[in-house]
Amino acid sequence: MSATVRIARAQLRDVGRSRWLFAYALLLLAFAGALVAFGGGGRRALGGLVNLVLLVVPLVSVLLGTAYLYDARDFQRLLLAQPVSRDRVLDGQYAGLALPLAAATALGLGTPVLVTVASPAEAFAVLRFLAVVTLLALGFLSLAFLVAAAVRDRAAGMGAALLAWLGLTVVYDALLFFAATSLSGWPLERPALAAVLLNPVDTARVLLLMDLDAAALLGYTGAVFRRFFGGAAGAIVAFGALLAWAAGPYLLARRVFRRRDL
Amino acid sequence: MIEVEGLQKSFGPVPALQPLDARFGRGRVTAIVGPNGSGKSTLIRCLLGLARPDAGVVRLDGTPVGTDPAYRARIGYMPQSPAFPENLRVRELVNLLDDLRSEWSAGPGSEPIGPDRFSERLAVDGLLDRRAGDLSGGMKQRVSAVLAFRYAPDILVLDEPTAGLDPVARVFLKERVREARAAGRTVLVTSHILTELEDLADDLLFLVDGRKRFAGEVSELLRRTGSRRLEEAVVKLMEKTGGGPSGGARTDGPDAASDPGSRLEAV
Repeated sequence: MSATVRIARAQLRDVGRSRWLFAYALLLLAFAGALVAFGGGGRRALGGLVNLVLLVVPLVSVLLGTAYLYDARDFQRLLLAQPVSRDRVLDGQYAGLALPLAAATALGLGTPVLVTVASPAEAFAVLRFLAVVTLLALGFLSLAFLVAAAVRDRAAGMGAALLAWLGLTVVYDALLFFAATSLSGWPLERPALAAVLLNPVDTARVLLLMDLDAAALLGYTGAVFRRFFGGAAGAIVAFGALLAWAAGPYLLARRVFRRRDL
Repeated sequence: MIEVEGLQKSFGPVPALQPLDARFGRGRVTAIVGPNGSGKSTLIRCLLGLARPDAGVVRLDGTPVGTDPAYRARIGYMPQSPAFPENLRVRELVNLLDDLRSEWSAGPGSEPIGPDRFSERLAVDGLLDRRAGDLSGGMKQRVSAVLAFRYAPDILVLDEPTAGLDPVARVFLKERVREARAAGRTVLVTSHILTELEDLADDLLFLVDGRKRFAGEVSELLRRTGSRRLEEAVVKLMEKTGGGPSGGARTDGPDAASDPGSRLEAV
């Protein structure tokens, strides 16, 4: 068994017993359960979850990850005083955080919705929804790793994590909106498409709305998005963008971590 | 044998280690001493690979320490403030380190991994099913001591090893350090409490502002400074080298363990 798996296994035990993760899973379960109970089961419940999920899941992922990594810094030094490489330690820590976070997200959101699906097609749509949200969580966890690797001070790191979340969930869209209204005479469909793919929250939002046949909410641009994301190639590109967000910041964090003083 | 040659490290514009040469021999206990910011921790971090030196090299038995972590199988490390994942039980922590070490040879003199009398005497066996988050500072220090000695390493790096330990545990630990020395191991130790070092250390490396101000046998330092006690000798050395109380250091007294004001700061 590799050092990565050993570290991940120990960390799974630690994180799995964390009451924060448990509380997060329960919170998602409560919201999803309430929507299923009052708004109808299966796919219909997902529509009500989109906005909540796009704010809460990234916030919890990036803050939980950043706080955990700063708390684990002394233990990280102890691990690195053993015959283990920095890459193996960080990979183990990533796996040990990513698995419980993904499980809490998917189980918290998915359990009440999946038990009320009416058909296999609906179940597939719910699973696709959960896959998008889980990838979004992993993307923000990767950002947490990057922040913790790059910023030495805990308070500054937590601030940077919060800013990253705010930037990607609120500021980015505000800037896009400003650009769209300022340049309303220009053909913006392609730049808008690119802008969506550059932000994991927007990519997830569009994928989730497409899945729910709610593209009309996006107006004329929605028709372009529907044409692009509705096809197999578009969906692959969008999932690829989410995967790149899950992997990219983490690989960068690895690079920074390899060189930094601890 | 550990050799440090031209080791240099800065953090931004602040030099932490100015070109430093030092040797730490087998079967010797070396006390690394100096005021706050003198470079003791940086030296230890460079040895463990936690900090990358700007220049210079650390060699273990003539082999330069690089980025390959294998050499750390030969080192047992006891950090100043041990911290473990709070929801992990002590047994799981020990198992993790056993697992991480299992594929490496611990080098000459290695002992089989398993419960030893040291963990019994430090009462760590009774803590195995406790959550790390429920342990007191002293309990964590005892667990940390057991982990450092557990794999019979060639080299022991003990950073403030007796801090937070009760007198019984402190005596056991010192006994174990003496055994390690007798077994030919290289022991590096830092402590705030010079009286703790006095009856352990064979050699002393004294650093001020990242520079070596004294390196040699403790007996030689006592002779040179005309002192009978280590703390007295170190105080004289600090006054002479400008690392004295004005530099944030304090002097040791007759009962250093019970009087924080009578300790050498950040040794």
